[in-house]
Amino acid sequence: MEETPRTLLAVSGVGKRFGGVQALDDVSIEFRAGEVHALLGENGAGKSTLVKIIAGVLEQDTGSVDSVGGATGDADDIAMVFQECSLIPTLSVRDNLVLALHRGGAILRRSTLEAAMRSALSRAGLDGLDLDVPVEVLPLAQQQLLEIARGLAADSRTLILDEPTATLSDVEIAKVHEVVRSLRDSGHAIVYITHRLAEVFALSDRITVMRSGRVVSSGRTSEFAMDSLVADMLGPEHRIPAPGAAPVGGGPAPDGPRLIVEGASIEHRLHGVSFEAPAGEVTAVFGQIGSGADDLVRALAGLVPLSSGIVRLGERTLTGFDRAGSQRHRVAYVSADRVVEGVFLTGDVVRNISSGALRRVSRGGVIRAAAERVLARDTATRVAFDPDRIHTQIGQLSGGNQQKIAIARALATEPVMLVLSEPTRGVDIGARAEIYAALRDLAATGVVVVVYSSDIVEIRELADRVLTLFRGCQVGDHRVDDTDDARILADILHGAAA
Amino acid sequence: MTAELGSPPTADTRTAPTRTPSTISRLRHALTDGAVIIRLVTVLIFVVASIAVPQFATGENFQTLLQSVALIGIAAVGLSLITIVGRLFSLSVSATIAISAILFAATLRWGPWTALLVSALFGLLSGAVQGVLVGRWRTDPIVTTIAFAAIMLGLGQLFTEGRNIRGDGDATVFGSTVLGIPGQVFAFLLATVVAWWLHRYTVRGRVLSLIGLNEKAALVSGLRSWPIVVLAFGVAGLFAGVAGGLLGAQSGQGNLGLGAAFGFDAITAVVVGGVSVKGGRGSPFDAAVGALLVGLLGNVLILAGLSYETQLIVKGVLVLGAVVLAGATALDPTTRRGGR
Repeated sequence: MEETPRTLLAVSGVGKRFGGVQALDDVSIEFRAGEVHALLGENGAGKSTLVKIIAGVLEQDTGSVDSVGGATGDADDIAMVFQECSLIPTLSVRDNLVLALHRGGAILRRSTLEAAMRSALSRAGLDGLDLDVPVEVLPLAQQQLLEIARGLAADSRTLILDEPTATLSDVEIAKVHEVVRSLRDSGHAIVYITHRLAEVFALSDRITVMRSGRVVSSGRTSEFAMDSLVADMLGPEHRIPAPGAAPVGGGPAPDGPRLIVEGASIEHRLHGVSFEAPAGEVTAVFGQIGSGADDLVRALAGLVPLSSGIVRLGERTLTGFDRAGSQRHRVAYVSADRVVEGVFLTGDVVRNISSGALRRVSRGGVIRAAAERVLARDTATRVAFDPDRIHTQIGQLSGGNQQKIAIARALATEPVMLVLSEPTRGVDIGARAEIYAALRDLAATGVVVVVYSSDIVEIRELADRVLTLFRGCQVGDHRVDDTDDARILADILHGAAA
Repeated sequence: MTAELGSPPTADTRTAPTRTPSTISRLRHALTDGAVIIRLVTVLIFVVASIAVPQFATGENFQTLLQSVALIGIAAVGLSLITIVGRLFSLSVSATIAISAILFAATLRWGPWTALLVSALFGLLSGAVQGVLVGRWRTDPIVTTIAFAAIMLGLGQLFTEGRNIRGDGDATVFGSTVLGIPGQVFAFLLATVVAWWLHRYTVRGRVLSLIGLNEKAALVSGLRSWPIVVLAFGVAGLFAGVAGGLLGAQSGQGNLGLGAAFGFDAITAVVVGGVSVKGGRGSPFDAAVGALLVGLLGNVLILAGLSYETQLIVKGVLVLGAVVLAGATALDPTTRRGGR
């Protein structure tokens, strides 16, 4: 091995714009052989955009990405390991690895392949794994290690691990760390993306912190302390709660039913969560991927059944309803995934907005076109969407406007409770502010608003209260005004930060 | 994609006129729309045939043409509902038509209207049962309808013992004209208008399209899919039953071989008419136009002296062409993600 670490991957002056948003601005980072390089930053800091550019999924506007280590060429030399498994669950371990090998030629020699697989598996800490079991029966941690093995099978010298431990337990995390260290020692360059600050100090040799598309600090891990790291990630404006930025609040509480959740549980995912959300307030549920926060809001919307517990909204009990049933009790839902379930991409704005409120614009089962247009225009106005564009096909709108329509669709049903998942994921800053304003206006009219978000900045700007979850259990329940970011982050990282 | 960020909402939302796209962009949009292309092609073939094929533009030929299209058209209009709700096709259309024709012939002695009612009810019932399987139990529509066709044909065989059932009664009432239009053609027009209106203007018709566009998004809007799937299969079965009854009336008999080609022709009409196989896009009207186009082409080919084999090849090429065309327009980046 070399005395001085060799640079395997150099990112120089990379910039990337999405429409009006500068996602990356003059980013330069070097990743060296034999180092674990932690890449940190809040959601929206530009980490995933950078990683996509490195992996060749996106193309940068300016700057360059040079892979200098391997002999096989750029594409093969960098392997991505995603936080949500990109393995094919129903295929066997063997078949998943064969897909990764992508050797030339039509005929694959079994013995050669077998040897290559065994070697990759053993380096990923999976000695003796049965090659013929389907991936889906493996524990999550083994699946995550298999992802790493897949990268190794392709002979990649640089490995990008995107939140590999987000969904794992402590024992499993230790296993992943062990593998990462051994890979580092054998000369791989490892880019490690994580939100768990504790593991950054335990594992990494070098840290780069990004914020708003720029590198704000970079250096050896020994040069950082926990406090300064959190400050770098959040930026100066979020260290102290901004005075006068209190959302809603103030005046008398508007009338409306209260949401009462008692002992809500979903097997293996959520364990006895209880809270109350009064009408007129925005309640945020905050947690990492796998914390159960997402499952909780989906259960409130009727998309996932609770295994036990009671959900009441005012006088009515909502437990046991599916989505159609809870919609009838005027619980509206806005999905985090716009493309899959958020909107009808090939339908126009009018049809999207009226889709949940057809009863309101029809008489005797016949749709009244004029009433439907009026509903669309009025609701569009409430979410600051230009009502003259209601005949546009949704697929032609920007992400921000698509999200506005997804919210308008929920508003059109005149909900008593509105449940949202990641309401501004992939939404630019301007539209984000308009969406927050629309949701606060809604809360002020006496609607219960419950938001799942993994973005602390969003919770600051939008919510009155925040309920923190960690691995399916409730950790805290804070007034947003009376707490600071470090406290909330510590909750969801289980006391790891601050 | 983000150009619209610059356009703030106008102050007065009620009186501001809805912005209409320019003529050119509307034209460009129309020329990438499969249904519009099909209509243009239909008109084009009509015009060319009128000039080039001497016997084509005669009243007698038009009547033959419409008669030949009518029954397939009725079945296609019903079938389009299944395609629109995102459940591909029913492959039991031919079987439903054959059994309905047999039932019509067998019950004709109680009068033509009773017989037609029996045929229609049989279609409705068999369609609804398949709809429950596909909708409620989420079985694959293709496999389910093939299996159901086999069951129906098997029962038909037991019931008829393979014999031809002669109609014992007078069914000429369906051969007479309504407002100068032959009865079958009138039924086709009626079926098209009714299905088109229901799809275009009613809540259930709208839900049908929304579920076809994106079932998950529909669920988020609180729309359950299975009752609408049952409805679509039920109506499709009803229409096939009516087509079968009218076929029985026309031929004065019923047997298992009757209407064997109708199923494929109906699918051809739906696809060629521009109804999206992926669901959500298109209307029963498109399927009716598709049926006309297929009938028109067949008619022209016969008059031009081409053999049955050649017609079959042309039909197959037509379906492939329509599917390729739909695939090509689906590559448009603004609509690409619309599929499931």
